[in-house]
Amino acid sequence: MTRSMQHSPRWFTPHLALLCAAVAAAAAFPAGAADRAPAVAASAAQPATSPEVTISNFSFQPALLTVKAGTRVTWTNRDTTPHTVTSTDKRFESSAGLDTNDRYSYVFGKAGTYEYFCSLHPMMVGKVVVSEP
Amino acid sequence: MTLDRPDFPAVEQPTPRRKFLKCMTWAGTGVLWVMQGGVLRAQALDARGTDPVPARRGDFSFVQVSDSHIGFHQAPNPDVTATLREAVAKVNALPARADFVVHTGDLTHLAKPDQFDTAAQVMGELATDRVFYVPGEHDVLGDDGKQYFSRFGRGATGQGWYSFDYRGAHFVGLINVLNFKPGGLGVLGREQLEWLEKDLRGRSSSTPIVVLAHMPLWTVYEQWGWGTEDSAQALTYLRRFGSVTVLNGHIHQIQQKVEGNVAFYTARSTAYPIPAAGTVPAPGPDASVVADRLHGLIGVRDVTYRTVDSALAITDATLA
Repeated sequence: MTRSMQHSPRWFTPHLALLCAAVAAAAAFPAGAADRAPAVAASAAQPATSPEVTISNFSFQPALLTVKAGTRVTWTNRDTTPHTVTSTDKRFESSAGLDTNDRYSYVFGKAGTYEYFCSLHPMMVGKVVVSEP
Repeated sequence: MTLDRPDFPAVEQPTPRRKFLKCMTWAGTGVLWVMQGGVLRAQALDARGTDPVPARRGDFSFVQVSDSHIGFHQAPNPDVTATLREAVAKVNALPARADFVVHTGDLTHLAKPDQFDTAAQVMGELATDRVFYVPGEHDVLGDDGKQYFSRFGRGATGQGWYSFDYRGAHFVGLINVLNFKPGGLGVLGREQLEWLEKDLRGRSSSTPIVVLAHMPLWTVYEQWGWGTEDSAQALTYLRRFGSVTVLNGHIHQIQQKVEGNVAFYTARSTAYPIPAAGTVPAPGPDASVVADRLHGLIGVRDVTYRTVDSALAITDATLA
């Protein structure tokens, strides 16, 4: 399967998102551009605390994400087709349908392995591995 | 279940009229199908509603419409309501009214109430007696189809599947867009398969069977999820019949296949085309289509003999 040949834009990385948010917060801009700028800026010293998963070309990127308990993970749909983040075994709250550029966040409070898929395109699967904080 | 029963699982049209149809056509949104001697056939009709090829007498005819995705608003089609409306106008321009219309799923893009409202309004403009619906995965998003079934699934059984007889043919509306499993394809499920077996049991093998379902009931391209994982079981119940036609949507392009007496067919979308399997990284809308080509690819404006010839050739092959 070669469904992820076209990568998401290189500039769109968690680190850059954090940097932008931190700069925005430092400059006292409104938080509009990065909708959770204050929270992200507050945790800027620990870049791994607000990882992003990009939904692009009918795939979750990265498909495997490892975080510490208490981490908020945010998914953003960059496709023109809607997708969902649906917990395989209902162990975390699933998203509604995400239209283009819609975002969904969830804080994983407990350690464990959380598998999910897209309820519209079930061949799209991903996993979040949460370790003890 | 017969067409005259009050629990008939169709949405009544505001202005019922009934006439025989002499020909069938690519009608914008999809195809005009004519049942002729127990076999479904297609025939072209131009935009003015005149018949460009010798008329074919049929027992009855119906139109297939698919994948309208009301609520989609991006390239290559920012106004999917307008293209659905164009398709409806083409159906209404037929020289003789289709007996009924079937919509093979993805009426809406995100199953939102206003999207269902718009879809119902435009489909309500169809000049036909009744419209039969089967849901697409976009129609059951978020609520397992609760809204959808309350509006478009009246009279259905089980989780929304149904069957009915019309002028000697037996129609079955199946649902393969619920209870998806991670990594899987479309699924019919045990309960529906058991119902299907019972529904078909005892029927004469000479009964023409028409099956409606959103996702293809054969594996078009597994990597993109274009198939139904337990469709083989359904086919074991269908195979003994002399004429079986399976009408699907989902992949927004024409694909056909014949297996014995079973002819599979997928219709175009009224909203946007999706590239051929495996030609691009993912099965999303083909945003590269420029406006003046869009209508040809969603089948709303241009009717081509090539397409129709192909359909007829393959359908005829089933008879041989």
